[in-house]
Amino acid sequence: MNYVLKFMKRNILITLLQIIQLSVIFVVIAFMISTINYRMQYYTPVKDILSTNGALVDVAATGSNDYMTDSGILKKFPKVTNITGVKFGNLLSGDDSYNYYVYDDKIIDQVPLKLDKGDISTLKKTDKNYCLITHDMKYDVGDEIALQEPDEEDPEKYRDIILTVAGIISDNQLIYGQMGCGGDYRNLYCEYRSDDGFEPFIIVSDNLTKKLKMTAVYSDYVVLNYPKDSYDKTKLIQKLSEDWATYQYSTDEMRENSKKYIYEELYTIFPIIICVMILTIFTAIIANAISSKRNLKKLGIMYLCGSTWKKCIRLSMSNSIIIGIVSFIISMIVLHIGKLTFWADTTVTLGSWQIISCITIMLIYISISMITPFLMIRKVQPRDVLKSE
Amino acid sequence: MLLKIILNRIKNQRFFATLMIFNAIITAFICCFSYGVYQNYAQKIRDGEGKKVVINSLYSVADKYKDVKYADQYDMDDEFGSEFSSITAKSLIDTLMALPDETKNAIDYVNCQATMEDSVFQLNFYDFHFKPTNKGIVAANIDKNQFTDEEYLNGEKVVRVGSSLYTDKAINITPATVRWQSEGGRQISKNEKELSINNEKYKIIGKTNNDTSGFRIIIPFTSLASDTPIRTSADIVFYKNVTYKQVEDIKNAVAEIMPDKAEVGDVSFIKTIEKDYYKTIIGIALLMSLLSGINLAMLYTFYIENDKKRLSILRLCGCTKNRSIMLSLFEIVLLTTPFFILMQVLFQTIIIPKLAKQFPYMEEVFSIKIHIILFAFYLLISIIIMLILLQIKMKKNKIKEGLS
Repeated sequence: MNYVLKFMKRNILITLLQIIQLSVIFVVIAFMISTINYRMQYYTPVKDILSTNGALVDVAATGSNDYMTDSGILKKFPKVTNITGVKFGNLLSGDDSYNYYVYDDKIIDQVPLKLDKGDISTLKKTDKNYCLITHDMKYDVGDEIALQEPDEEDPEKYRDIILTVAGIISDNQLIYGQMGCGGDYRNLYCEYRSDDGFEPFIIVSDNLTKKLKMTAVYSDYVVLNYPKDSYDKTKLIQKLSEDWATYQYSTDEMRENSKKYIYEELYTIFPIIICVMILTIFTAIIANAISSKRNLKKLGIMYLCGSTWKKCIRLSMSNSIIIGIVSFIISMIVLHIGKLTFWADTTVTLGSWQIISCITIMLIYISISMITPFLMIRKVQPRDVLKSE
Repeated sequence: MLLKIILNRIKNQRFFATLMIFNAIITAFICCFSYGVYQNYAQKIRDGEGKKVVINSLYSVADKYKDVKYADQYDMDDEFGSEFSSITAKSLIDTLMALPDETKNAIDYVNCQATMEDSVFQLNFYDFHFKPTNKGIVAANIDKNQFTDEEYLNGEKVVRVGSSLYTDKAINITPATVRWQSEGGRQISKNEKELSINNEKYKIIGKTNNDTSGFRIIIPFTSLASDTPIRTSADIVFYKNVTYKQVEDIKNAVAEIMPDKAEVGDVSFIKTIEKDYYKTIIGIALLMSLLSGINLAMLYTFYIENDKKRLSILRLCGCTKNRSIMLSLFEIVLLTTPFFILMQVLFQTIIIPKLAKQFPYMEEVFSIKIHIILFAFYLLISIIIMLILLQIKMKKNKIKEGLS
């Protein structure tokens, strides 16, 4: 170890350049994986419901109570096996009125939701009545908000509800449960932009609405899933039209359109992926070839002093491992700081896939560092190495 | 002689020469590709970030202007809009003045045209650039040197005339729109003090400023009679990207002032999430360029270390430090340039057509000029890196050390 560090100290400029080089590679890889992930992250949570027979239904225009609750929908469509949608309600705070959306545990766990502050998983806790709010509501995490909800039985009466802020929802992102467009998974999301006329809103958990007996109902899009043989598009459209509900797309159509949209984007960035790979491999080869060439003479001396080529290669590998680890740490710090500051408005994230990819690249780099000296040494006699300039 | 030295070095230092050549090829590819990707996505962002809101007229009032010259040559309304639209000068001014102050202040300029008869071309089209302020309508910055705020605010009937109209070239000048073309103007006499425009007398206050064409006749928009129709539409251009609220303000003002005469055209806002995605790809392109730069630095460090002995001998033989640096630089540039240029040619001829589907804007951003700039940039970066490294190395190493 001491010898490796001494080795690095003597080649400080090259070592520094190698560290910078590898750090930049890790950052590029993290960027690359983030762009791929970004296209998939909104589709993955709804992949299952779009993989089963069914349809996306718009219940916004219907006046029928049958479409507002799960039991109502099941009564109307007994063959439905799964209902997916987000229920909405309304809360009052003085003269202000806020819509609230109800997320169940599955949505809380799977759907990406960026928060400026707080933690989305707090919504699942039951010690307080937790909620998420948009940043324009001027409350902070931990604050309590006094709200009122019209009584279900007597709309002229109001019930008091106290909610505790568990997190602040970031501006400019896709929100699950809003009506979107595109004919694919994007129909289930809508872009939230406070400067785009989007009103402040609250998110609460399904368990909380049950606990407080809040009156949330389906009022936008709902996905109805059917068993394989029970789905009849014509009958469904006919039945929906009786109550002014509208059929939008079949889940098959949405799934195909979603895949098409995602693959189109991946196809677009494919040349960039290739380019990044070429550059990564070339950089690794350059760095290791130069490093090996520079150290060849020293390795030759070590060989003459009794060390084996195997040990020499191990030395080169240890050198690369240290460079790899230092670069990895630097790149993670840069990515983390970057995400909070200068890369805040990009899609870069630091998740498990990014870390796994960086480790894979590091292993490739170390492998190349093992192979390169071997390729250089195998045809050269130690005598020739020592004779070289 | 130098070529001989280089060929000899390639022969003797095959390893280094191969790396240099490969690096030149890959750097050229990365430079061109990164630049293309950057421009492609920057253009996508620009496309989605409009600064312009268009107020479109809803119908034509050309039937009122059947007596004007060339009126028989065009339909009242066609795919290009209308020559005399339902939007009048007064309704446009009132709409702009009805905007909230913060929206007014965010406007860079409003652009519209009007087709009117005058005593120079018989029929002529007039282009206006103005903007609303708290005081009223004033000339936009681009026309600030034509009219004073006072002339605009008071709606004074003053005119500036293009310098060509004072020459005999005037008869060959034929203003036109998509529907008509004038047969030519008349030469304005230097003694003329007034022009007749839209049946009103306008006082000539001088020649147009910064008018490269030399045949424009310009008047303040506020001097127009209130019922003067503008052509087809008016563009409202903002300093920064237009926001949802600004569009809403304009829609409200139009709905209030001229609800049955005009409507606000669709403004497509780029989705922030798409913009973030594009920015990430731009980030990748920039990082790839940075990586290429680091590769260059790495290779040059190795080159200089290998060349230490030779440089020391050169200096021992009387070559100055700067001259030996220049020699090294020249050698590297001469070795890599042909391959860099070759890759640029391959990129332009083979790779760009293949990438056209994925990156539609890439093809149009590349030109010989851009390739020359990219090459110059590569040279500059190479020289800077080399100079820094050579200075570091030669400062540290004395000639004696170099020879040891």
